[in-house]
Amino acid sequence: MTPIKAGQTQSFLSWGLLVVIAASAAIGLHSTAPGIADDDRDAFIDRYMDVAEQIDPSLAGRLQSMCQLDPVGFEIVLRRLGPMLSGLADLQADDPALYQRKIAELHLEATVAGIVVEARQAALDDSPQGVVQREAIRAQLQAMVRAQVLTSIENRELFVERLREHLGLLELEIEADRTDIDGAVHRRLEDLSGS
Amino acid sequence: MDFSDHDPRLTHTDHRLVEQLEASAPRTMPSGLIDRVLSATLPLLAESRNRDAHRLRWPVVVGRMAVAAGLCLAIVLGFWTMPGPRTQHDLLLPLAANPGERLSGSVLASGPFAWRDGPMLTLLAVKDINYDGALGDLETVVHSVGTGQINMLGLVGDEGPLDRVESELLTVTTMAGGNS
Repeated sequence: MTPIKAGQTQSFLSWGLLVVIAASAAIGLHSTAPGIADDDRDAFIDRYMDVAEQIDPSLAGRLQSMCQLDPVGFEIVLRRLGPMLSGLADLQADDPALYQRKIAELHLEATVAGIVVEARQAALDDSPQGVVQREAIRAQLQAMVRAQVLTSIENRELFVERLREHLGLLELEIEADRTDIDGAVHRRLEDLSGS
Repeated sequence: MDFSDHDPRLTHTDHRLVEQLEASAPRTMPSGLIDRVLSATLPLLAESRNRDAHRLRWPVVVGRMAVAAGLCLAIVLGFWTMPGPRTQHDLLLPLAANPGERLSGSVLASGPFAWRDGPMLTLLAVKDINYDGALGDLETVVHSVGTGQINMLGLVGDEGPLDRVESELLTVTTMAGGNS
């Protein structure tokens, strides 16, 4: 048996040390890079706050001041307790144009709700001035409701159009898989085997 | 050498050993032996050390550093270029860009089982949202966060399966209006 010389041992150790240092540096650098999930989470929370601002600025301000949770916990809270606003926040990312139209529709609805309150208060006033005001409010309400209905119809048409686009893409996918079943099976097996 | 701080038992043992050695194999140390051994050994050690130092010349060191830097770079690049999980948006982008085109394998890399229902579900969920519903949604969140109910609901922190079921029930109750 050939004894290992001191020089060889030193060489092995130095190589080993270099590799360990290189690997540690790589892992360390990689771990300090911001994760995609973190970025997505922060972006979602920002969008949620933006949507909340559009719905009710005062409540959005309160929510912003309460935002002391860790981002992971806060995202869970927003997703589970506020699914509607979460959906709007997702729509803002997926389809900004449609999101803006939906927000405009909600603003119109809020405006109509405010005019309805005014109309109810005006209905209690039987004075001549009150009657005039009531008619003015009624005309305003009618115009706003018409605008709201038209916006709602346009938006729903847009939603249906988007859904059709997605269905079309799904049909394309299915057709592509059907024409290349072997390829689809191969890709599925690769996914399953993690290669 | 000063052995005064040694354990006396060790000193005693040393003495006993020396006595035993003297009794079993009495010998006398040749005078100047240690000096001669040292004078013969030290130059050899110095020569060996010089030889090792000579072996690690600059070009060799630089070469090793270059190889190590290459390894480091390869590992870093490997980590960075490792493909991350593709989102539904990433998958749909090529299709949306040219829906008429025959789909390539790369677009359908995740296979026929990858149901891309995210955007569709979002559309369906958002389509019928009205202002009152959205406002109620926001009020529920603000109320729950403001009153600390989220801790009771177990929405933050680790939770087990039973906790999760319980928190789901509490969430439903809260969202149904039972905030108390």
